[in-house]
Amino acid sequence: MKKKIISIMLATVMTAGLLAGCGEGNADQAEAQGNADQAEAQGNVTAEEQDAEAVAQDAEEENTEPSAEGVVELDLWVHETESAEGQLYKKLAEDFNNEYADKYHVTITQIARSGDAGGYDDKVNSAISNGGLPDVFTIDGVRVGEFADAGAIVPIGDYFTQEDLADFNPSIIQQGTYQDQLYTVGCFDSSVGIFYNKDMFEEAGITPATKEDPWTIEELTQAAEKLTTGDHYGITMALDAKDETVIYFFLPLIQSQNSNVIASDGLTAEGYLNGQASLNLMTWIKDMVDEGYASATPEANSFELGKAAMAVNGSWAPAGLADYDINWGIMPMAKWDENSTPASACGSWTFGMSKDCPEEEKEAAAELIKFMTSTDADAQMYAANSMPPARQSAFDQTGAFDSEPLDVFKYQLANTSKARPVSVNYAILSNQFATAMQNVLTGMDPKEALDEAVSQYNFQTDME
Amino acid sequence: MGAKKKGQKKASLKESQAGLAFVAPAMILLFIFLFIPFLMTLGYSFTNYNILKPDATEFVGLKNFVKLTKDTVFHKSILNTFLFVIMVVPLQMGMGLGLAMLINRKTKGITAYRMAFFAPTVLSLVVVSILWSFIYNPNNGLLNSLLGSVGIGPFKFLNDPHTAMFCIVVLSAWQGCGFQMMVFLSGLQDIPEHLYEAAALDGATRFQQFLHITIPGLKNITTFIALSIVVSAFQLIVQPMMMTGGGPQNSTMTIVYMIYQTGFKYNQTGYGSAMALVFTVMVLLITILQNRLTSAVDEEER
Repeated sequence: MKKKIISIMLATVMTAGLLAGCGEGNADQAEAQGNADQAEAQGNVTAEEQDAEAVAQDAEEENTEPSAEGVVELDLWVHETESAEGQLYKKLAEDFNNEYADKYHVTITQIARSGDAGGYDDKVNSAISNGGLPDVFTIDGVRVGEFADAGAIVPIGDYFTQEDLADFNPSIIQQGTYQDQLYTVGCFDSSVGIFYNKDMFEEAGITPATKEDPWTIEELTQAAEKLTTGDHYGITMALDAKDETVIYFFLPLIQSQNSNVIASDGLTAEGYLNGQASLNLMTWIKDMVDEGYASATPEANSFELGKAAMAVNGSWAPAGLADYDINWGIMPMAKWDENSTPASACGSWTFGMSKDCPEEEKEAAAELIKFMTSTDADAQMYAANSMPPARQSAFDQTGAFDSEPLDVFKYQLANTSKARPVSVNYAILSNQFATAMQNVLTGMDPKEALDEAVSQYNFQTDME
Repeated sequence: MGAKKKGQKKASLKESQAGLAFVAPAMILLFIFLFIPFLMTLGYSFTNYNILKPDATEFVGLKNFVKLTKDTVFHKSILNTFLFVIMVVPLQMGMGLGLAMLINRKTKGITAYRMAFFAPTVLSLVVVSILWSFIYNPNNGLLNSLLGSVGIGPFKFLNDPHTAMFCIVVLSAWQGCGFQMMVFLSGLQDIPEHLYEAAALDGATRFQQFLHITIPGLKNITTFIALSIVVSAFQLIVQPMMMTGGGPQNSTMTIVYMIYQTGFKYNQTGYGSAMALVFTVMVLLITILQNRLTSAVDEEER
C-alpha cells in the first residue's frame, strides 16, 4: 500500500514539474519541492533563467536554407506559432525568400507567448540585455514608446515613400510614432464597435446608429435602459476585464471629450488620468452598473447567448458570432455628446527594426518590413485572422469591409480611430487605469479612485 | 602500522571524492539557478536597472529601499500575504488530515475516492483559477445559485474587497490539500494498529484515540507539512493574477505578484529586486523562527 502511495506521489511531483515547465506562472508548483530557498528564488527569476527556459520550451521553428554568396542574411522573430496568423508569417517569410532569392534571405523564428508571464516578451527582454536582438521583430503596438525610448528599435520612416505611408491607416502611423519619428508599422489593425441584437432592437422600437453618425453617451444610455429586461442586460461591456482591454475599450470615450489619460508629453498624468473627462467616464460606467443596465461581472458570451442586447466588442468578434443563432449588426463606438468628435479604438502588433541590425543590412531589413506589411500581406492577414487591414489599399483589395456589418470598422479606421498614448510609462498607466475602473466598480468613489491611480502612477514613475 | 593508516586515508579520500562527484550535479544546479540569481538580485537592488535599458544602469545606493518604505501598495501586499498564510495553513492542513482519515480504511472503491480527492493537485493552478472564477461569478456562478437555493446571499465574492482574499484561500486549500492528504495518509499507515486496539480495550473513545495516538504519531509529518504549506503560501501569485488582478482595491495584491509586476511589467527590475530581497529576508526569518519553535516543542517533550 505504502509503495503505491509513494509511487503516486512521485508521479505527481513529476507531473508538477512538467506543468511548471509549461511556463505558466512558475510559482504554482514549487510547493511539491518543499524547499525554502525556492521561495526566495521565485521572486527573482532572472532574465537568464527565463531565457534558458524560453529557449528550451518554445516551439521554435526555423526554416534555415543554405544560401548563395552575396545574399544578405536576416533574422526575424514573431510572436505567433501555430495559429493561422503564425502560419501566415511563416508563409510570408518563404515568399520573401523566393521573391528576393538573389539578394536577401530571412530566417524566421516563431516564439509562443505563453500567457501573462509569456515566453516571447521574456526572450525579447533578455535579447535587449545581451545584444542578441534579431534584425526585425514584432512588437505590441502599445509598447513602441518603451522600446523606442530604450533605443531598442530604430526609426524606419525614411525607407518608405510618402505615398506609401499615406496608404496606412492614420492610427497605425500614430501608434508607431515616438517623438516625431516613425519606428514601426503593422500588417493589420483592430477596431471596437457596439454590437447589437437586431431582434431586440426591433422589439424595443430602437433604430441603430449609422457609421457616420454615432450615438452620444446619452442616447446609448437611453437605449440601454429601454433594452434592459428581466431576461437580459441592456449592454455588456467586458467590465470584468482587469487588463489592457479596459483602456483599449474605453479610452475613446475620453478622447472623444478632446482629452486623454496622459498629457501630450507622454509623462504627466496629473489632471489627465484624474481629469474631468476620465471622471465623466468612470461616473457614467458606475451609473450604468448601478442602474442595472450593464453587469460589473458579466457572464461569458452574454451577447452571443442573448443575455445582453448590445455589446462593446472588437473586430475579432464576428468570427465567433457565426457559431450562435442570433441576428446581429454593428454600430460605431459612441461619442461623448453632441459637441464632441467621435473617437474609436485601434492598434495591433507591429514590425520594428532592432538596434542590433548592422548598418549594411538596414536596407534589407526595411525591405523585409515593407514586404511583411504590404497590401498583399494585409489582405492575406485578413483571410487568416479576420482582422481589418492596416492599409486603405488592402481594404479595397479584400472588399470584405465595404458592406454591412463590417463597413463600420473600415469607416472608423479611416476617420475616427485614435491610437493609445505612446508613452515610456504606458504599462503603468494602463494598469492604473484598469485598477481605477475595478475600484469604482467595487464601490470606491470615482474621484477618489482616479486620484489614487494618479498618485500610484507618480509614485511608480518617481515623478512625485 | 603507518602504511595501514596511509591506506585508510587514501580510501577515505577516494570515498569523499566519490561523494563529491555524487552531489556535484545537484550543487552545480543549485549554484547556477539559486545562488547566482540571488547574488544578482542583491546587486540589482542597489541599482536603477531597467530591463529595457541595461546600458543605463547606475548604482543608486539605498534609494530603492527608501522607496519601499513609502510604497503603500507594497505594505498592503505584505499584510495580504500574511493574512493569506495565516488563513490557508490551518485550513489546508485540516482538510488534508480530515481527508486522509476519511480514506484511511479498507472499503470497496476507496481508490476512486483517493483519486477524486487527489485530482485537483494535478491540475494546473491557472486552470483551477479560471474554473473557480466561474464558480464565484456573482451573477450566474454555481456558488451563488447553490446558496440562493437555501436562501443565503447573493454574495459578490471576488468583487468585494472584504471577501476576495478569503475566496482565494478556499480555492487554494482545495487545490493544494490533496498532496497533504497523501502525506498524512502515509503517516497514518505508519501508526501501529495495536496501539488503537490496546486503547480500545482500555475504554478510550474514538476522540481520545485521535488525541493521544493519532496526533502524536503524526508529529514529524505535521512539521514537514506545515513548513511546506507556509513556504508555498508565501509565493501566492497565480490565483490573484488570474482572478482579481490584485484587486479589488489591492485587497489581493501579494508580494510575489508585486515583484513580478514591478520587475517585468513595469520594467523596473532594480526596484523589483529590492522587493525580492526584502521578501527573501522575511521568509528566511520565518523559517528560522518556525524551526526554533518546533525544536523547542521537541525538547519540552523530552
